[in-house]
Amino acid sequence: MWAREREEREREMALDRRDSVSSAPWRGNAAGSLFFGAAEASRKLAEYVNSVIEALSTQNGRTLASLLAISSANSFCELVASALELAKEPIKILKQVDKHAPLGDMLSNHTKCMHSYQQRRYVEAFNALEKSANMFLQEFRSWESAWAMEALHTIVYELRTLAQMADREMVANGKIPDKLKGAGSFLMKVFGALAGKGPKRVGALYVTCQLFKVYFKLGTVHLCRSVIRSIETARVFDFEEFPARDRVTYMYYTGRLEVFNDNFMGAEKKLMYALRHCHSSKRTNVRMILKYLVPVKLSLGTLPKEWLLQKYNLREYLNVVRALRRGDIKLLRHALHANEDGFLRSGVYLVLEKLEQQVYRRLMKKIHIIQKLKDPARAHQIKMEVIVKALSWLDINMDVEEVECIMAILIHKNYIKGYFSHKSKVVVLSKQDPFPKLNGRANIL
Amino acid sequence: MDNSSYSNHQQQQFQHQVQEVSYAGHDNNVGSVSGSTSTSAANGSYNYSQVFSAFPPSNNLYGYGPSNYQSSNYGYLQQGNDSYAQNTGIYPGSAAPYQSVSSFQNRSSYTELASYPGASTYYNGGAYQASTYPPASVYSGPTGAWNNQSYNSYGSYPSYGGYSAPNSSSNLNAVSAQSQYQQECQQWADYYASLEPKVQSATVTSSAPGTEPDIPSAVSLCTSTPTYASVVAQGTSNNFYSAVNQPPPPGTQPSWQVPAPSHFETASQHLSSTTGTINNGSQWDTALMQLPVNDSYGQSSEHFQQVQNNNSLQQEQQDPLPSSQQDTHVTHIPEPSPSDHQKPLKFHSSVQQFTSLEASKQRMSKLQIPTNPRITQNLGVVISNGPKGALPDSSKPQKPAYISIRGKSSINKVSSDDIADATLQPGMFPPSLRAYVERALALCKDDAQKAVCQDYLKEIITQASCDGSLFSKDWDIEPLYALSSMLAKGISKQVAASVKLDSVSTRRVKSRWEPVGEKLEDIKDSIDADSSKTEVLEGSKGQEFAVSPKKWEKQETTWINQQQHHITSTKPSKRGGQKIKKPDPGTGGVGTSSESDTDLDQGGFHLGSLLTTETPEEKRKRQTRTKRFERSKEYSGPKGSTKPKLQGNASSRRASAIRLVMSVGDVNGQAVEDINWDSLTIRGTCQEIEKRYLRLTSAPDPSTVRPEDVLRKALAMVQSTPKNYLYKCEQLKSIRQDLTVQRIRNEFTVQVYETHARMALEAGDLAEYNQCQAQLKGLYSEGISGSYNEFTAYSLLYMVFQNVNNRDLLSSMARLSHAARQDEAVRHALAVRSAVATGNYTSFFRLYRTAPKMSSFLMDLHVERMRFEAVKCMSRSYRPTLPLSFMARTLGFSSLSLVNGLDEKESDGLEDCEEWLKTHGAQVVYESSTNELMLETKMSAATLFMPEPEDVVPHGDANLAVNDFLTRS
Repeated sequence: MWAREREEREREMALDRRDSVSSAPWRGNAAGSLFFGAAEASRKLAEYVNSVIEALSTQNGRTLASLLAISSANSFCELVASALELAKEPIKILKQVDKHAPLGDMLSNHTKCMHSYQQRRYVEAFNALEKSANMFLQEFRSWESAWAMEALHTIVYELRTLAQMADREMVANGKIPDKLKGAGSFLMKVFGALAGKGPKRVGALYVTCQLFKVYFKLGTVHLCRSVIRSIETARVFDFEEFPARDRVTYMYYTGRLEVFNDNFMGAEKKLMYALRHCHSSKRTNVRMILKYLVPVKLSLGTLPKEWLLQKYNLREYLNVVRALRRGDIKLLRHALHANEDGFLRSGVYLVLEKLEQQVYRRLMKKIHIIQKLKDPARAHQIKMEVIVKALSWLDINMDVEEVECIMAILIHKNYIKGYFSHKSKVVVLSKQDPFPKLNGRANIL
Repeated sequence: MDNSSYSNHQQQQFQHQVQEVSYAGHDNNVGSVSGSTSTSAANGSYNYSQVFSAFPPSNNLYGYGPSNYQSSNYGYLQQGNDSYAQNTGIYPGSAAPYQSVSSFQNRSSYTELASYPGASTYYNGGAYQASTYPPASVYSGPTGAWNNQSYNSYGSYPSYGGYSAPNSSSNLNAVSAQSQYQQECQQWADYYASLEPKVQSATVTSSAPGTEPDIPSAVSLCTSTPTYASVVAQGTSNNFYSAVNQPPPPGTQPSWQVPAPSHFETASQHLSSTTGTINNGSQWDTALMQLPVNDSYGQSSEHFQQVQNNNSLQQEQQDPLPSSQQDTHVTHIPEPSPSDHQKPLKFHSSVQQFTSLEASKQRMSKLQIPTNPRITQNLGVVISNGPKGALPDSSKPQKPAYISIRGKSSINKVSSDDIADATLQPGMFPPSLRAYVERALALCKDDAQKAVCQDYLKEIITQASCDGSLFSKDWDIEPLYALSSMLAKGISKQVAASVKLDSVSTRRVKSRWEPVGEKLEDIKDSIDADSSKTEVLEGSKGQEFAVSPKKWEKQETTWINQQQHHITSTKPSKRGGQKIKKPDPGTGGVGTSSESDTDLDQGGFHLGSLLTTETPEEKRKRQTRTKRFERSKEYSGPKGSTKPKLQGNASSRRASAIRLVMSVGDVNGQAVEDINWDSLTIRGTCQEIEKRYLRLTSAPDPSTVRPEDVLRKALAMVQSTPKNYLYKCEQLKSIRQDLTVQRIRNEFTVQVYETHARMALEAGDLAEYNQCQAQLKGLYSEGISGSYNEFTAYSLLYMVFQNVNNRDLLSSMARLSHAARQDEAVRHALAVRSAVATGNYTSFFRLYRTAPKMSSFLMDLHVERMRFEAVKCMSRSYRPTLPLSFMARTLGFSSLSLVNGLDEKESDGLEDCEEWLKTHGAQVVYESSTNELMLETKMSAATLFMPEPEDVVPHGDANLAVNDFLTRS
């Protein structure tokens, strides 16, 4: 989801790459002419390998990350792929890395992945990358410090995105997609390597977020629980020490999970955290947060200003909010119906559906106010026929029994204070605060 | 007893010993640790002592049930009392030592089960978490005694340091030759104290005459660590053996006493007759065999290995150690049982620690030696390691996991390896042949044997190269039997014995999958039974010991008793599962009841049949399987070479089951892609329309499977039959089964499942309905047409009523196509969902009344809850009263009466409603003015409750009365 952030990071990385790898002159003509001869290809590949070696020996994680990146715009992917095609004995060149770290096999797999990626054979690319990633992780485990965290994150990110592409390819070929699942289990391994005590823990939340993305995509959100537990129960590491980027993402996803669980209070807390810490310039991210925060807030009785919805292009909620303001059942139903698919997919449908009772409540309040204007003394007695008539004006045709039931529910759930007299078909409102505030209270008892 | 026979016994004994001694060893360890601060591994020892001390009296010796044990186990880490004298600790104790030994660095891992999944399992087995392993309890009895004893002994012989092993072994001996005991003890003690190999060998000799044959080798190799270990093991085992003999298990005695010539018989008999022994023996043979007692042994084995390492350290052959450790590790790996898998890890840790231990090695080794014996199974392995350590280059890679039997002979390994190298230049012969030769030579005890063996091998190889089978022959499975028998005849019976064991172990290998589990269970059961019997006795003794640890002599007698107990308890373990008569708890030892005798016999038969049921085909299968697990190529033995004397029919059933399991295993072994399912799909030939449903336990037989046209008739029959649902359900299940085994997936399949799902709904059989629904989902997704919308609606309703989480509900709603949403049933289902979500009872019961198709049956599931919610809501919001007529109408009682009373068409359901309200605690009053019953809402609000359903039945529906089942059967 944080595509924007991601892009920016990559841009930074690209900048950095220009600094640190500027010594590699071949970089320039890489984009232009990829058709160099075998010797040149070997030389370029060797240069690439040397850059990797240098990054390893100087423990420059950022450079390493940029060297290993695959899908980002400035990656070496294209260059390496074409060099790999032309060079003689590329394996031998790649093996030179082994002198510095046992990553020769890893690099050969990684370049293979780049090659396949370049040729859009994503399943192959994913398989190669998975091998490469495993080897890298193994090596990463043995490094004491977390200098290569960025590189690891790059690999994790590439693996996940590549898995999605590979899955799409598999579906297109009529196969059952399982690569994202495989990526998920690898990420779990990475998480295991990071989640313990020590300097590497800082990177754990990033992996957690990537895992969330995988699980949400796969529809196996229940798997999030174990990861969340290990993040939230750990006392050794303060949550605030994680990078803000990861914290926001994490809170966004856990907030969504709370929405699924009907825990609107918890969801509000988490989503508000995410909103507060999300950089305001990241509009897409803010929008994604608001997409869940608005329904949650609505069900807790807080209505957003229209300009907010307009600003973040959340028009699907406009009518919902209007219906809530006006007590217009019809409008609410209409809004829900119109956006049913979207709401179902994002998972807020059930939340919005329950807003209906709030709309009834608003309608009752309006009737009450009107009655008070006419006859303050008897305003607290609302006759059933009045309600039925009001509803019929809204093109909602319900018989008395149904309305009676709704009133009973409203009273039962404490949307309205008062009682219902079956005999005289009258809702008797409490004279004191007949419509208690919903603020901060879940509307579901 | 004859020497040669002795060897067999020895090994088996060894196992026994392993069990018991190890515990003792642990305790001793503790003692020694605490006593001697010299241990450099302060951490480990410290931990250990702590741990150990924690097992306080709380474990009433044997009395501790699984739960107790666990608690003690965990608890021990926390507490630090000096209560180990009590020794419930036995178990805990054993675990603790283990930890201390293995986990100087890692002990934390043990504590954190989560981080170390292996640990938990491990301890379960090893530590006898009684819950899983009855054996634990069994052992606990004797063990407790052991602990005490060893502890006592320790106290009495402080000079020995914690070296309990000798003591324990001597204890065993004491049974047979009590007088010798002290001497031996002393000797051992001396031996260990001095650490002089010679002394040690001498000790061994003196202690057990049976060992003598080994002595030469021991002496010759005394410098090498392995030898030392082996010697120790043997010595102890000898002792133990005698002890075992004393209170012989009923079946065992004769076999034990069989003179030298009948090595094989003895071995086999022994195996078959004594379950416990069998287990032990087999285990011991195959390092793999840890199954029955496995887990428990696993621990010990590790101990043992560690011990070995330590020993080697002691002997200051530190160089080879790493390699030997590796070897051990390797050997462990192949171990089959899941629990065993984790051992390697442990072992690793132990290895690591081992290095740390170097400084303290002497101490430690002493401490751990006691544990050695316990590890019997691994003994062989360990020993073999030793040689490897010496010759790390030559043989390491090829060491099989199972060769453990080689144990003794492996002492000579060094030389044998040399020979092998000399005779076989790499490249000239296939590696498998090399391994074969090595194997053969490994069996040789001394030079004479070797010479004979070499000659023999030469013969074989020449012959093979002459007839061209040198490279085609599968040397991995070439039996050593002939060879060994020759050796046995010509040279040494021990060799033969070891071969024997070897073969036994191989056998075991095959059965390790299934039998293992069974055995474990068996053991469990037996142990439970045993432990309960022996508890009191042993418990009291243990306490006694604890109180007066120094009275070691007194304990001898008690020890005997305990030993007997132990034996009795061990026996039953072999046979497991079904039976388990009570073993004789009495002191008589020999006087096991006839029941248990037969059991033992059966056990023997079982084993025998296991051994003999091998067909060539099986052999081949097994071989492939074995290879899968072995890193190395050695395949240790001749399959059919050893025919146990006791072969019975009793176990044919079991054997067939095993065969089945094995075949399954083979299938699993293949890569799934390799299996051509089409070729495996059967076409039924059965023409009978009616068929009982039996869950398949084997590959389906085409003659009992009906083809599709017959199944169609069967379905029609089921649909028209007047019989009850149970009958229909069974018929439909058998139809489904036939469809499945023939892999028929078409409209007819859908029809069958739909029919069954509807019938299940009608009968309220949700479990069956759910199965059908799940199948239908898959079938529909394959594009097979059927009543898709109808069942979509059902599954939506089902989800709503089963309180499936929001996400699943949402996703299935999101998946609905627009066309589906127009469907009446689906629309109805969605409306019901909405009504439930908002608690709108009025619309719910209206929908209930208008439910299409079978939806109302599903809604029935929710009616009760919905009514209750509704009444709760009403009683809170209506004032002051509510007429029952209104409620009956709103809450669907009136429609209910329509169903029930066919005669009175327009029942208003008032009575039902009143009844329902009263059973739920509502207050109903009579309103005279309107001549109506009214719900008194204010009072009811406080008194409403949800009564426990009266007609709860396990299968979820009272309609499926038990009587139906009874009448049918």
